[in-house]
Amino acid sequence: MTIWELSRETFDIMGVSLKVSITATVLATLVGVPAGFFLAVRDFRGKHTIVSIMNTLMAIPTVVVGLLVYMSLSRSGPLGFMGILYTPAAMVVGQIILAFPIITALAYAAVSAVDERVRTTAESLGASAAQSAWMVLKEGRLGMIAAVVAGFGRVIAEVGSAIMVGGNIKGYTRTMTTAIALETSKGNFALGITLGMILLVVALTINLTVNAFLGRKA
Amino acid sequence: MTASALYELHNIKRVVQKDRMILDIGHLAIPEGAITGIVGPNGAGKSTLLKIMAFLVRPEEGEMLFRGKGVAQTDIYNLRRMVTMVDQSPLLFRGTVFKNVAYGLRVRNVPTGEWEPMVKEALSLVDIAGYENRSVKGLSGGEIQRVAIARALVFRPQVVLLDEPTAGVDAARVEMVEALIREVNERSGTGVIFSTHQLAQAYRLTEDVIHLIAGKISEESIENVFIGHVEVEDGQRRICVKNGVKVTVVSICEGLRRFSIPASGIIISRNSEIQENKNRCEGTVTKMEIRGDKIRLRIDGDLSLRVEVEPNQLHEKGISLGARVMAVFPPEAVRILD
Repeated sequence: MTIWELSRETFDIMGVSLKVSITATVLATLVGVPAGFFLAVRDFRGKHTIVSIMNTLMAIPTVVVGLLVYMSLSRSGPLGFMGILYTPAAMVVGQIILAFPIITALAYAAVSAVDERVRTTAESLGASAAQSAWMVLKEGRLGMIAAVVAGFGRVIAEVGSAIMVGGNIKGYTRTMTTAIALETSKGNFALGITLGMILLVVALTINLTVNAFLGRKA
Repeated sequence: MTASALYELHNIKRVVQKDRMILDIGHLAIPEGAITGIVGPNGAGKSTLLKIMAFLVRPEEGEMLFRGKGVAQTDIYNLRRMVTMVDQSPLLFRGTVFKNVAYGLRVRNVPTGEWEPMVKEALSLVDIAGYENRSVKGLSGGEIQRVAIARALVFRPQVVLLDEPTAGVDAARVEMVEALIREVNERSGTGVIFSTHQLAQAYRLTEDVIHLIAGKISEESIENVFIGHVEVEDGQRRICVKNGVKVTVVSICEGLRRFSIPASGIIISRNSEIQENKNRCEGTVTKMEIRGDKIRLRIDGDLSLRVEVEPNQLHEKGISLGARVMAVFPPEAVRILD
């Protein structure tokens, strides 16, 4: 039995995984970071309820998200007209739903941890609302990066949603995790182990990159 | 004559926690380009007043004029770019000293090519030239404060608000900060408004001192403050100020004493009107400005005095800038401070 199997197919699977997960993480970041920032700096009724909901959603099972997205995107569902079920786009939708609460909740925690004086100091030096908000985000960047990395970690490693709404179509929606599940069920451990190792390498690379970045900037 | 004050506050009220009034100012005018001290105990509302003047906090009630224009109608961000405030315990952003000092230039879109000489000049002013590339980590408390002041001065604001700049610092640093306040004001004409709980410190730096107690300006302003030795001559107590001027007082006191002459207790008199038994001090009118419905004069002679007169007296008594006048005040008006 061959353990290492680095074929063209393996690279295709890696490509789909990274493309879907990076896209989902970027989109969830674009919404989640401002949402976390807003939650941290503004006081309004229901704020703590929203924070509690976000914290709860961090632990939502991926298959539940897969089920909800499947129901929405299936032909009889409310978004069935879009015709994106069993496409990478559907997988991105599922992964955004998974990453958004994590990024929002951790961004909220990161901004809350930033000294209140950062905003007032920036404003007293002439910063506009946007410039002082950017300064707060920069001061809380360690937590922000942790939020984005945690969001990416959640989606690159998830299998439930990807397999349900992507359909695990070879060369199209097959990701590293769905491939591992499939190959394992077929008894093809070589590809499964290779993909598992690649997943770990990707996670390690991201962490080393982030640590190097933080080490330089902190 | 100054047409308008830098700041004019009318019926400013700041309320926190539903109905707790922390600031209640009926009228306050602060002159342009001067050093102004705000004195009061902890919790008097000094920081709140400074934040209102830095346009960081909006009062619940009242009107504030900045250079004669109502603040409520004007763009708050443009106003914030004319003034700046340095906190009691200033916060520096992560990174280098240069990045911190250049922040005000960055947010004003000053071309990056102009930053370096401006940052160097600001650092030199606060005696930490060459600190540009240092990380803010590891700076001492004194260095942090200097960087914060340099950061506030680099974009040449029209007024710098310093919240308790010498709170909890050692004597050597107090002198440094006081010298810096004078230098900033003298070198560029930048207005400096600082808060302190030390009356003596306020008067060391300026005669424009606002007394704030429990959020209100103390009705009885303490100004024209001098220090001298009490002597008894012909049964009368006189305080001999260091330049030889003697001020007759009625209080029973002795030794080295600090005293004040309220501006409202001094009258401007022609020589022919001089009455016996009153203190007299001749001088030149060097400054005139409108304060509410009165005219405030600065008369520089043997003593430098602030005097308040009614507007109609200007013509009646021939008061104009550069005029030689006699300031007269009775011994009863002199107040022994400590």
